[in-house]
Amino acid sequence: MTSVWRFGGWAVRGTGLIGLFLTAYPPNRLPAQVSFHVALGARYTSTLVHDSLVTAFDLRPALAPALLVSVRDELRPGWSADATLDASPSGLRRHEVGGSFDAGSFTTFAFTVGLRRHFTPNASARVGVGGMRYLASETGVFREGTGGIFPLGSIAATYALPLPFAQKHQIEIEARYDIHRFITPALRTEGFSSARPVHRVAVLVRAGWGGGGGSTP
Amino acid sequence: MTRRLVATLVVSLALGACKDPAIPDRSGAYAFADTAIIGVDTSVTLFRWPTTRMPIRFWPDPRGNMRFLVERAVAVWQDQFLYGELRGVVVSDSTAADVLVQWADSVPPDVPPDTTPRPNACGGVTTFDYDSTGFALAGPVHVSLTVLTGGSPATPAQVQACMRRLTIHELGHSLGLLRHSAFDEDIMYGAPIVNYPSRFDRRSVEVLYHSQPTVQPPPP
Repeated sequence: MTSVWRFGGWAVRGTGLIGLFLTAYPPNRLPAQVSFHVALGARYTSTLVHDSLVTAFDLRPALAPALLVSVRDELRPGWSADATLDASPSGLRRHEVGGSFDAGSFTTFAFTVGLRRHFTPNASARVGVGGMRYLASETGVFREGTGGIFPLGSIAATYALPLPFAQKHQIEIEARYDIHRFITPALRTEGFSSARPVHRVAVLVRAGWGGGGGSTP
Repeated sequence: MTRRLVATLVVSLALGACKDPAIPDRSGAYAFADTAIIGVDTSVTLFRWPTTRMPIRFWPDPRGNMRFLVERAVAVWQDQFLYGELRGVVVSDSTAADVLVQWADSVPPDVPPDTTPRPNACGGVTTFDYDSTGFALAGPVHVSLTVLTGGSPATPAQVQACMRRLTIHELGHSLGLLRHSAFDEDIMYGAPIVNYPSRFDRRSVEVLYHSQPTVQPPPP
């Protein structure tokens, strides 16, 4: 199987901007400023393929679990940067008139770097960019490969629970949205000439270690 | 600078959410349904295995390399679909099968195939047993493969290559491609000479598996 690495211009520029920002604001790499986070939740993904053969139908992932692992570093008061690995195994369903049917499965892996702004001690927002890859058996839309790495952009809003137990374990609730454009070699062979924007929304519960605990105001 | 950076990223995300791709043109499917003119009426026989009957169960004759031929043909047809419309499985119990694939007479030797075109090395027939209404199958679909012996005999390697093509062709009939293509580039051509389904075979079977059948499958 041949992997094709494709980066769209906007994602390359976005990643470059993040890199420039991190260079301009070098973090003081004190161990107490670095924290590790694990998040678990559920993810909805919009339609991967909309097609019509006699009648119209959609190929859409089922509601799926999402697991995120992050390393976060405080840049300066109120700001932090992070690197996040995001894994999400999902079933694939074909939705057509008369029902919804199994159409295989896949797992996505996404790596993003992000910039987080802490607005209050409990609330923060994140913007991130990175790349995402589908892993699947070579059948169906993935029969000629998974399409390589897709550029990905994401935004998230996070709320740290103001409870003693939650603050001790840095437990946060996060709503995360990301977008990428999806197409595979098999879809190109079939005649699709451009990729489709795919939106993903996840609701996550996050726990953290290190970094002095709690969000930075 | 920071606000500009964030604004740039947000605008980039918004731009990424633009228009959906166009659905490709699927022209080129050939006629796969049987039609018959009875008086002033036209009767259309369109059969396909419904989604509720997946995976389709294929029973191969245990003699020779029939199991290999059937597994290969099932995989080839499954690969024609993008959206999981067709799934097949090879079973060992003929009483629990939807499609029975058998040698009609002699069993050809399992040798490496010689893919040089050699017409009339093998033949096959697929039989549907309709119930009394004519709108449902009464039992499993029967596929029969035979080694042709007329004229100058083909070599075992030519017979093996022919069997590989023919198994795909006959299983295409068992899936519901009831008619032959008029073009020799298609695996569903009357006397197939290509080794794999063409893009027109693919289009046809794709359209078939999104069409409304007029014939129901046999009882499970």
